[in-house]
Amino acid sequence: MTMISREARCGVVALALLTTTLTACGGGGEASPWSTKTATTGSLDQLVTAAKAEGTLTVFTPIVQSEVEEWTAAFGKKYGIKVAIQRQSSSTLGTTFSTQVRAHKVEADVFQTSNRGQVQEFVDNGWFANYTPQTAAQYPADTTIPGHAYPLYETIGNIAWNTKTVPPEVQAKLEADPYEGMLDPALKGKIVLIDPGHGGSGMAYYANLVANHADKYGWPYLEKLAAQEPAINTSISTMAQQVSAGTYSVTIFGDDAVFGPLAAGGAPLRFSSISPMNSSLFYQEIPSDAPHPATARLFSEWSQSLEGQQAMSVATGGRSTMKGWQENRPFVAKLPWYRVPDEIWLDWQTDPRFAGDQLKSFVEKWNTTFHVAS
Amino acid sequence: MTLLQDAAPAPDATSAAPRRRVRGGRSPQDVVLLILTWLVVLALVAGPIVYVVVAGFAEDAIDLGAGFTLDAVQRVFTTAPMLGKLVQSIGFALVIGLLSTVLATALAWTTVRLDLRGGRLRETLVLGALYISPFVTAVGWVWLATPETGVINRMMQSVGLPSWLQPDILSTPGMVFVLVAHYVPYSYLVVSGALRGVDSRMEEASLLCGRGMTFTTLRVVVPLLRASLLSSVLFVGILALGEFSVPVILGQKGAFKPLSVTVYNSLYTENQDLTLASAVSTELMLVCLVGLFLYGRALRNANRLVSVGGRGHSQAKVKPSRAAAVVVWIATLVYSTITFLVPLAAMVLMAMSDYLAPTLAGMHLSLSTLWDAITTSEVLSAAGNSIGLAVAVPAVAIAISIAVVYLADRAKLRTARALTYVATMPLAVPGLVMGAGLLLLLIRTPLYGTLALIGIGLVSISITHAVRIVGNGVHQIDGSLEEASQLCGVSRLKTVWSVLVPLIRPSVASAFVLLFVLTLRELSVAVVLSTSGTPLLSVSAWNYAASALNKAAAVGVLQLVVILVGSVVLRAVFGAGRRKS
Repeated sequence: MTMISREARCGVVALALLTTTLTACGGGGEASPWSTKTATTGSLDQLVTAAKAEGTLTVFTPIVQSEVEEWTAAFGKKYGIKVAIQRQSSSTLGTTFSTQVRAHKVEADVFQTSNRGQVQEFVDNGWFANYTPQTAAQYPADTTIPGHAYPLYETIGNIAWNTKTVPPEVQAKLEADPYEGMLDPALKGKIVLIDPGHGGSGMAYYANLVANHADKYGWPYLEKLAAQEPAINTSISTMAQQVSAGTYSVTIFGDDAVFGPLAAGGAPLRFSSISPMNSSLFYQEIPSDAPHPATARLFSEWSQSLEGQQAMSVATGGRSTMKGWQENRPFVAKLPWYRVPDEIWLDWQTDPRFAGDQLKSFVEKWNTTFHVAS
Repeated sequence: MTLLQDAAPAPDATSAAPRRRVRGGRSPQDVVLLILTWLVVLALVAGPIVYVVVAGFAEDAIDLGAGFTLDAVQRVFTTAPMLGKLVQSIGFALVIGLLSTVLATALAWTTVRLDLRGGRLRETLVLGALYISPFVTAVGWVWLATPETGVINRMMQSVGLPSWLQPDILSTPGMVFVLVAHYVPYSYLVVSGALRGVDSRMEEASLLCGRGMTFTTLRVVVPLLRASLLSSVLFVGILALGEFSVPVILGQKGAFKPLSVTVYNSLYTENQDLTLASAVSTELMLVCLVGLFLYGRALRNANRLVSVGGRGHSQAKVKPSRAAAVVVWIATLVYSTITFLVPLAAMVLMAMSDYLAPTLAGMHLSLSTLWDAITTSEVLSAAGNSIGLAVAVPAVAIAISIAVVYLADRAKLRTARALTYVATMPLAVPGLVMGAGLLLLLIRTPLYGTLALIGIGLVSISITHAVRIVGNGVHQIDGSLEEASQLCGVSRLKTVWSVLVPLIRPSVASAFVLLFVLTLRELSVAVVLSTSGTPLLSVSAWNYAASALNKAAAVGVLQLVVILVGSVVLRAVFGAGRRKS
């Protein structure tokens, strides 16, 4: 070891020089005129030409990859643009994106997420471009962050279970009163839940129970649910597969856009809801430093148009909030028992009780209740 | 395969090299080569490690100019929860290292000492788990062995077996099981190599003196293998300490999560904290270095256990009775079925299903589903990138390792041995840490988002393996052959190329095949450095594991096919080259 310390001095000097050189590298590049465009009025021809010249679009999305591929294929086919998709959980996408922004190495042209708090934070940081698509007025004002974020799709919450592993009498209970049914002793150890600390639409379910159903459920209900010894996961998509496989029998995180297509495809799944039931909105933004700013803006125009939204709902199973959108989700036609709840609650995404420090307190209380280390 | 006892450049290994070297002084070519090699090794190995250590003190790990703080380091090194987690993580890694070594030793002993039919097939079955990524195996086991609802559990229920007898893969023992199954081949390669070097007459002498097999094993074989056994425990322990994918997948029911998961979560979850990730990484590195130091101390007086000398060496194999042979074969089949064949079958079935279901009958199995999953443009692109890297990374790592070994073992220039130490440092650094260091160090450079950056990361963790294997090959070559070449007026570097390199071709071939497999399967570094423009098979499978388990399995199947076909092709290529020469 003394040999190393004696001889390593020259190495340390060389390393210091090398590290300094490498960390000083990067950045640069001439900005495209499209990177500062806040809107495209009239014809999209110039935008289309510029986008075709850029030729590539990279989408960061938390939605199931095959669904986004199917949806964006229509865009790629129409404009001859190659689409690359980076599918991760909302939290992983957020951290990857923030790391890249701080290093001036942004990879995403379009950023999609269900975490509105994160969107607002990134907007405040100046990380998302100011761009308003031509159809912006067709979306409810309270579902947008004007100039920055517009709705991609809405998914409605459900309680979902496996029809092969849950006994028929418990299934009847789940249909009649899904949350009470979850407390059936037969389901102990067979429930899977989402960790709200991971962001995304999972938080909506807890918020609904605590805010809208405090009298009947609230925190006392969550304590009873914790006594059922649930498993904790971080992704609704993974949970859908696990409930389908029978690894777990039931979950309260049965987003219709995720579980619906699986059930329609023949998976042994069923789901039901209460009213009001939470829903989550996925948003779409353009990074300020998007490497292909014209393509990103063209995709924004296409995906927020009625054509793009109709294609989206077919491919992903999510509902559009756009005026004039017609129900065309394939799973809805295939599942005669599927019902949209009477009242849908989306305001949790802007509710101060579930943002900032109050959200942290909520997550800490949840961690304590469910015995999860923070 | 890399042996820990050899990972540090053993002083006696170099001293064992021939002393009749032609000493033409320090040639300018050697000096240039030394400088270049130092630069490359510092950039690839020391750079990321030093950056991780420094970033642990930074306010902003990406921008070191933002200032420094002790907050993260204090939290990691002085708070009870983090220290508790450290102790648990070390215990977890040691248990995996110990169990893998015990199991591998039993398997290796039966391979080396018993004259059994079908030895090659048996070894292939033992090593099978080496070819599958552990997290893909974990995904398969979740479907198979979840309490009450797993396929195996339901089968056990149907034959009336009580629930307490049923496996629970979503638990800490479940994690240990999956990781031990994965690491046994690593230990097997370490221990079997050493066992082949042990003179079998020592065991025969013990048996002839009337000692039983248990006594002989514990008092003769184990002490003789002490270095290799410790090496195996430590090597596997270090690998297990950095493994995050299996605990993430199997820890969802509240099972313990080691520090490697803390690093991963600090990098990628909502509350991203790169400084914390760096501080924990530094802690993991220190633990590994302490382990290596203790290992060195334990073997300080190991010369009394040397069993290979100048006298004759016996490698006699015992012909077991028919009954004993059957028992060994059954044990091997049970082992390989549990650790390799069952998860492989689960992987294939999952890959053929549109969706998972509790029973096979409900899964709508179809080969077209598997085909559709592996023929998407992203997966095909990932396959191309992975294969490209799996060829390029071993080539570059071996080239660097030849330079390192030549400078230390033949040219014997000052600082060359220190160079070898630095080149083998990644052995003590979990892959996730190396990946994080490279990411933080190079994210601002034009390399970020390119396949070259992933290649650099993979080379950095591969050099240590290549140095070891190539070094072993070089140590076996008598320097007189090179001296003869130099006496004929050939320059030293040309001598290396025309004399030494052809002679160490078998070692180069072994290193190439091993690095080919490891590169294709590697996740820890790749997951940190890969971007949407540079997909890899291992990263695609990992990403799918968070959204579509059947597609993760499909990519895992493709990965396995590429590894197996590639290994066969490489062996054929190197075999043809050997015959030609």
